[in-house]
Amino acid sequence: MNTRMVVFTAIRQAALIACAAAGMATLATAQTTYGLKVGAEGYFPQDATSYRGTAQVTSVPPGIDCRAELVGDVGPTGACTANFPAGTVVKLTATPLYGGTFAGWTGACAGQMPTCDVEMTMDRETRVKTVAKTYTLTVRGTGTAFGQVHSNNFFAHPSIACNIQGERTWGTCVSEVPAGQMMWLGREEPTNTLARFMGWLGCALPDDYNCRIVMDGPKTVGAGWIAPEIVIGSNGGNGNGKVTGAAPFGASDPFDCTITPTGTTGICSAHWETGPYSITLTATPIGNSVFVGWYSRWCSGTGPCVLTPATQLDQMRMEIRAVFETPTYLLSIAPAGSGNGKVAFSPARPDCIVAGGVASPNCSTLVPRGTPLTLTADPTGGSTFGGWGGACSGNQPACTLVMNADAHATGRFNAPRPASELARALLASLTLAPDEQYQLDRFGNADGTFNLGDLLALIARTGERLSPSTLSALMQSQPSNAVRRGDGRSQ
Amino acid sequence: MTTRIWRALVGSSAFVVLAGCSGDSAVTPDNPMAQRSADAAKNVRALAIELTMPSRNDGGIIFTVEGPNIVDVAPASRFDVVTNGVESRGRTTITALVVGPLQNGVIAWLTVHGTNSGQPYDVTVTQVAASAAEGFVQRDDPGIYRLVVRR
Repeated sequence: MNTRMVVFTAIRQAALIACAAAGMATLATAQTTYGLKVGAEGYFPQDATSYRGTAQVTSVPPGIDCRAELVGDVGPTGACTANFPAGTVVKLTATPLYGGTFAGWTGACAGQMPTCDVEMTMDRETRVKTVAKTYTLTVRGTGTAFGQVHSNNFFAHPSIACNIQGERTWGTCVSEVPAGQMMWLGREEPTNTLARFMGWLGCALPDDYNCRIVMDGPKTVGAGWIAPEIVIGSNGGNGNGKVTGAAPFGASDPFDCTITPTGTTGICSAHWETGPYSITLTATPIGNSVFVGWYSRWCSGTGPCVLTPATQLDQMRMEIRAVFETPTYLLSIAPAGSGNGKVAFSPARPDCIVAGGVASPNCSTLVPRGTPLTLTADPTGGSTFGGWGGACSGNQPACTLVMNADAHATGRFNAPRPASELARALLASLTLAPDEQYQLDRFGNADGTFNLGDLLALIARTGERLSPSTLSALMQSQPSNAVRRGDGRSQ
Repeated sequence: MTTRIWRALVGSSAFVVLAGCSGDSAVTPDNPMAQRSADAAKNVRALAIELTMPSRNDGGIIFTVEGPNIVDVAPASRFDVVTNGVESRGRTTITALVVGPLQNGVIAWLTVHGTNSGQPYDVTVTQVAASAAEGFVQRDDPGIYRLVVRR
């Protein structure tokens, strides 16, 4: 071996040694830091009433600043992993958020204190355990129809599954929700419903289908559906009638609505919540009334009113007005003769007054169709009733008509006969008709016979005195003795 | 009886009565009415028709007086009278209706032809009715009322 060879070999060995030393040094420097990972403890299935809360975990030395929560699949957020030099003692501090309560550590940390020291002698992991403060979430109903509100399935727990029918609710409509948690509520209704969603109440972030709400306090969310309402009414007709029809699907009582000139009574409205069945309303007049027709945008004519889901739903209130009328006919009473009297009506209405052969306005009157009406003639002031004509007949004072058409009757009131004429009748020189005798007796002493007492009554009523024009025919030949009054006057 | 018949009957009756009572004048066919008027003014006298049966609250009476040569029945004071006369076989029957407050006393005057004034006259009450005080009721038994003719 020559010298050159020895030196080369020595240098080569020295180099190898140096390289080995350098390699060892490099290996020693890579193992001086360890990773620290912070997370949140999962649910506490053993305690269904407690919910995992949220804590902010920070470290000293800095490096960890983690929002420790498990929100569905999202998990903790922030700086939840950091490397620390080997041997470093990292102090972690957990601060519960939203009013929660610190409940301890698991993993690298232990104990019940919110601070924890982790010596970084190796990669470490720890999870913070926080019990959330909860707030009550209440779902309330409104409107008239059925629907459901449920929590969207982002979270397995807690859940809302609330059935709503108007203001009535059943199911899970109240739930304790961790403070700070955002709840997503959705709505659902039957596919054949005719109801409309009225919207969310008390919701911070609503849209047509969902309600998002942050539980930063007790919350009440309202939801409701309203079904179209069918309302039967009248349109001011003067008749009576009924409107009937089967109950809408979902309603309990069938339509049974009585319509009078003053309003409606009975089952006159219902909410139409569910299709696809149609509703048929039938109008039936009562008594003398007639059904004039429907007065609404959905029905017309006089036939049945058929409502189908397609015929409505652009308005939530469907007013179906049924018009019943009772026709009226004109009864007119014309006087004949020049006497006085009145015609009374039953059922009562203002008397028809006849004075000197002239009728008062009440002698023409409108009478509802089919009304039986009794007219009673009543002569006054010594007049006598001479009988009926036209729609009435006969000489009796009473006449009954059934008004099924306009009617015109004539009532004859004869002017009072002079008392002297009646006196002549009593002396058998003048003959009175039986009806006239009857009426004179009726207004006299009413003893059933026309006699002297009736004449005296007439004289007393009219103030009349016996007229000299009725002097005995014997005196026609002796005018100088035509004195008939005992008051000394010559007639 | 129609008016025409009535007038014919009464006119002829009066003619007969007055003609029968006329003792000093002749009735000429040419002017009978003028002759009757002239006769009537003579020999006519009034006899009282007097109610003798007590009456109270009566307001009217109808009676018939029959006899010869009756000319008329005229009212007494406070009364009104309507009459109807019939002549038959020389006797006249007059039915009179007297209205007024009936009391005992004269209620009417019977005028007759003087030459026959002494002959009897029959008076029959057929109806009596109360005044307003008793509601104009018809008296049931007018026969209890008594009327007499006094000279």
